[in-house]
Amino acid sequence: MKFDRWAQLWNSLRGRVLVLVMLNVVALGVLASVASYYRAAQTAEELFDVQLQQTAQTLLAIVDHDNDKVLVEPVDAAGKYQHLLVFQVWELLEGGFALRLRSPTAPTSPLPEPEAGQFMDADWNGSRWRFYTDLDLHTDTRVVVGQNLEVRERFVRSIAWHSLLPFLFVLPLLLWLLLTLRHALHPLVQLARDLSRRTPGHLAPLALVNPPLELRPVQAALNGLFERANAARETERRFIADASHELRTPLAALRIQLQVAQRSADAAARQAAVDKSLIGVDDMTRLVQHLLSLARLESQWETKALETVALDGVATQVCAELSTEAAGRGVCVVLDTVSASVRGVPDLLQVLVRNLLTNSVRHNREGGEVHVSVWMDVAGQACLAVCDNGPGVPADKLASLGQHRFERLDESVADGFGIGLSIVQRIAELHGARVERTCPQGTGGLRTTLYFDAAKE
Amino acid sequence: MFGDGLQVGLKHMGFGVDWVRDGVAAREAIAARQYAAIVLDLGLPRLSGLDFLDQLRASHGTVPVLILTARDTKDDKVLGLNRGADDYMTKPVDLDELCARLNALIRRSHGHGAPVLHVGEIELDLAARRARLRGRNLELSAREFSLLTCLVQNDSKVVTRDKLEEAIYGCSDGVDSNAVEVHIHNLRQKVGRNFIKTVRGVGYLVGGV
Repeated sequence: MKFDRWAQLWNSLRGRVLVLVMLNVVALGVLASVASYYRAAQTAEELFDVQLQQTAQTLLAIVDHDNDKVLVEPVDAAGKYQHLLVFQVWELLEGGFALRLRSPTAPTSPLPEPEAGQFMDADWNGSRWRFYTDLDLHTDTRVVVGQNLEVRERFVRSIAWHSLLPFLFVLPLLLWLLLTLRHALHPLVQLARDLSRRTPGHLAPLALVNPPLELRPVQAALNGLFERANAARETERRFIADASHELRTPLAALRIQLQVAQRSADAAARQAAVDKSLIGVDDMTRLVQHLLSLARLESQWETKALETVALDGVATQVCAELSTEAAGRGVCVVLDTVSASVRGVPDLLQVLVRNLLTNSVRHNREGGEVHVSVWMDVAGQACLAVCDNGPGVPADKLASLGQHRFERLDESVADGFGIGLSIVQRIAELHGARVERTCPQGTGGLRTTLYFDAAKE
Repeated sequence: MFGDGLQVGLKHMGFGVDWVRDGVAAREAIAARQYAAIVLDLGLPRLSGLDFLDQLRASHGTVPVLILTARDTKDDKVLGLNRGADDYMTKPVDLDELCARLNALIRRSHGHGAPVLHVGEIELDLAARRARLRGRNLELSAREFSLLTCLVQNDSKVVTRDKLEEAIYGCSDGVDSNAVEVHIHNLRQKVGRNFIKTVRGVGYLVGGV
């Protein structure tokens, strides 16, 4: 649980920045504080030593000045810090040193004293003291000054601690950092909110107000995605509209034939209408199959992995499948292939060739031929051509062929749904193939050539 | 498939029907014959339905046009009607409704409002396709009714034999040269000998002179 929360914090950009900055600030702060503390303490110690020295010198000067005045009584220096300082002034008289002056805290017996001009730490009167001795050779006077080390250390610590105070300002700084971070990351929050509020149909481009540089690629990428999704939806919408339009005609035919059958008094007319209705049902079945395969194209393309497909193999297989039907219509299928491989989805390529071939067979004349050829051209492209000698296509219609769904050149051809060519067009597009349609002079029919990038061996 | 069904269905309802499969053929057909009404699909090869309509109206053709198409958007309907169509129906269509609308269009094109026509003692109910003589129902075949309707709609005007033939037969129907005379003969037996007058060398007429 606790680990989870840390993981969560680490996964958040804000958390990560915060943790890193905090760790750095704290580490630097601790280092700086320790250094600052010791530096301050050292300086304070030196200051106190200087003070000790100066006190000694001052005392000597006073004694020298008041030469005629001999005081053995303690100098009244009552106050808060009287426990800090102790001193004795000794003067060389005949028979030895005599105490001339002392602080109220000082005894009449000699204090521990170092060599003249030296410092010395010593235990005295139950605590640690630091003593300093100064000597005036001119007046034969000696001064011993002591500072209570415990009191002195307390001061030193206090001074050193105070030197750390500025580091406390770091804490509000961290708070400030937190707020700044929140502000800086606001566009991300805004983006998330915008995205989470969207319904599946809402694909309008993101409009972040003044997006930061880092978010601009994200916004651009998302908007690109939305655009593509929009285009896909538009295609789907148009497909549904086209499909419903296209389904109406065979439905209308069915309905009218059935109404005729219903009203026909004589059996032969009724039978004819029923037969035509059955043909209508077959037409519709084929149309629905086409519609479904067109609808499935995209999803198949997305889910299936690309393979290296032998284009000649696909052509051979489809020709074998359809030769019987072609023969039934009095059309001969001629196959001419060399080995050529492309990258693609085998099922879709089969659908493509089948549609092309079916189209050429259906629109051919009785006794006509359909040529299916696969070859490699000089540019190294794998080519597939299906060529018939049917009635062909008017030149002005050639360019738009297969571009519009459900285009039928001749409405009277009952079973030639233009949707087949749309499927060819779409599969070719998905495979990155170029489609070329020509009506060569002489043969009279339509020649459809597809140029694929050859698969690299 | 649809055109075939429509042709058969309309014939059953007593119309003489010609079915052409593209805009150019339609243009040629209206030049060759006079039609009571046109059922027009829009997705025609060679010459689109709307272009055909434009040309028809530009050449002052007044024949009623009913557009029958799979295009079902409001815009398509508005466009079709504004380009000169008189009615607009979308596929799939009910044969009865189509006939009713065609009858209404034809009735209007002859300047009649009422669906029941009266000439002399004959009463013609176009909607029900029923004829009455002095309140008594007449048993008429679909072709006989169409023939009578054509004569009654051209009340007091001479209708040529050819026009009568066109009214009950499509040009593809193999028509005997005396088919109209046979129908007229049968009709006279049912509605009375003097109701339909013969104008020698021209045609027939009802009512009037």
